[in-house]
Amino acid sequence: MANLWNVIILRPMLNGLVALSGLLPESVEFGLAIIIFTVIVRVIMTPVVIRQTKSTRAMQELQPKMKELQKKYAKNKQKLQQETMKLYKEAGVNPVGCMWPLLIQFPVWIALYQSIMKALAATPENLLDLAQHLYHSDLIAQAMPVNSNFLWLDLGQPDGTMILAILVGGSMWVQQKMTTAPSPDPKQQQTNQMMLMMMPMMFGLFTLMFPSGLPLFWLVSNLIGIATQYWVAGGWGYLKRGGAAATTPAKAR
Amino acid sequence: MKGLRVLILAMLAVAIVVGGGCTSRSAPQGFTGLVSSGDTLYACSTDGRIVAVKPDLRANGVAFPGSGEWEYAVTTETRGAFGCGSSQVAATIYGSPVPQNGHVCVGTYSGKVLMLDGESRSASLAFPQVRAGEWQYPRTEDTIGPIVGAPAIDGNRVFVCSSTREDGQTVGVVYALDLTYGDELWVSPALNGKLWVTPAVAEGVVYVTTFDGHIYTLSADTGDLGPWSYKAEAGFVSSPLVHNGTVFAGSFDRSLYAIRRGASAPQWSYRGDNWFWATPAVAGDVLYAPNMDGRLYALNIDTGDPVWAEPFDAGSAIAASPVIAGSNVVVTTKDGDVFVVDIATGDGVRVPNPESDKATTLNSRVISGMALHKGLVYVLPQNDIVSAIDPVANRVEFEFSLRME
Repeated sequence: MANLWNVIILRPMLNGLVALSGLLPESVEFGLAIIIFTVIVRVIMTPVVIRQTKSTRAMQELQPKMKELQKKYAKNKQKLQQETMKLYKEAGVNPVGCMWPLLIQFPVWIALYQSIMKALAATPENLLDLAQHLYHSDLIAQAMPVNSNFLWLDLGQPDGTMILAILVGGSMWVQQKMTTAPSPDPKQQQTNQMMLMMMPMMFGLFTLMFPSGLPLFWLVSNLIGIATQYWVAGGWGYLKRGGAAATTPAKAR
Repeated sequence: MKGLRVLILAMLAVAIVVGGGCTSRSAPQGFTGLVSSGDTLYACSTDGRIVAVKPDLRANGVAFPGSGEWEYAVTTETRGAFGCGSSQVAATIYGSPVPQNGHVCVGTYSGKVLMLDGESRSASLAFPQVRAGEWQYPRTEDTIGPIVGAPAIDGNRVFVCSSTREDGQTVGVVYALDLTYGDELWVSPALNGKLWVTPAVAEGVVYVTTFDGHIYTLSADTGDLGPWSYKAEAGFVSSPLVHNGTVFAGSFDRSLYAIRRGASAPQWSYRGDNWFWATPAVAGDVLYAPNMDGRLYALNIDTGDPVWAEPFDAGSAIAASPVIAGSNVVVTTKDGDVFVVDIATGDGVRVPNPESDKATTLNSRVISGMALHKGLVYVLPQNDIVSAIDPVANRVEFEFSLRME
């Protein structure tokens, strides 16, 4: 299974990344390759992401009606289930519709993570392991070893400054804030607020621990996510609207 | 929605574990070879100990440490994930220890060079015993950049390569230290690219190969760059081997290059199917060069022409330098197999595992080189269990662990 994963997904991505870095100016080759590769992957995944975003928004828009149903059928769970399914059907929403795009994206993200980390070969053991994954190509041979210096970063080492951590955490917060609808339920709202803070903080901390090639990928991915969200929702979404959006959700484009 | 969030969180956790933990830079473990000097074998274990053992005592199962045996745990200070708190952990060592007149020199990944005196270590005295010729460089708590490779000793000097960051770029630096006191004699100019190599020293010249494809020469006396350097199109992956004025080094372009000092073009090059990671062994006019493609190539040292009809195929990647043992060359694979190959014909046999014919010879990966001692070849795999192999009888004679209680 691991071998199949390597042959079909990991190696093509890893070699693509290394080959791309071989085509770029040497001083910024791998950092720029990560950015370009992330953009390419995000562009390829755009239809799936848009579908996921629309699906999530549609689910959010149904929340007030869902609350009404929950109140109305609080004592009849079977009826509540039937009415909920009916509501989904009428609105043309698949309750698990926003999960499938996520599931499809995940192997791609994991492979991209792995490719970046393998290509950077931060330790001698990593470099030795990398030898088993590279294709026989002059372009790839010329690109090796990849230049891990990019701007102020050594992509193979964690960023000693807080700059990248702040950028990753900040961009993740913006992206989440754009999509997190304020809830009329105080309990749910509290959970939402906690999530909104927790994830960016977690990834900010990860940034201080992981080789900075990976947080660079997170940052670029977040920025593209924000752009995609802006385009799909036709604006900054809940980032600007705040509490008002709870009662008047934005229409998906 | 709550369920969806839980799912997303779970997926993120999986991504971190799979994408980060399993596949990213795992903590450096280290790998070093064995070195034979006199009646002693010197090695570094993967838990950061330098060990001196007498093979005769180990063969007889004498309790460690026997007479003249010792071990010394090298530790390094590490800081918590966010720079808070510090603790002492086992040092990581890449590169064999270098014995010299009862002393042993090692470089650590944390950027220290240590010279140990065998007698002081046998007596378990505090380190360093300056009067006995022990030292560490730098002497203070400071460190230089990571050292990946062994030090080289020539005359009364120790040469060691290190990599560090300077003005946002990774550069290589060569240090020359006094053999007796560890004083810094000179520090080379910053060289482009990482220096994960053991320097080679010949006729007053220090040779290093860099990840950006340079071969640099430096004066052993002053550290000044020599008039000759060579720039290849691809980076060099192996340490240089210098033999009769010719530098041999493996490149990331899967070729082994032979470049005469002073020349502007290679004398010859030979391409394998993967990297020539390990430094070749020389016997007579033949170079025995292992490759990560799993083959051992025998090449004429002057022309690069293959000597054998076919290279010896070991079946899996070879990362350790081979050792010449009489009429055989012994080679180990990364997976843990050991082969004895006839140097004349290139025919080889696998040394069987003492416990199971189906298993690899050794029960762990082998990344670093071997040592020949009194006709037996000693191999140190990553599980720190040394195997003594008789290349004539083609069997494992005995084993002992470096992790002795």
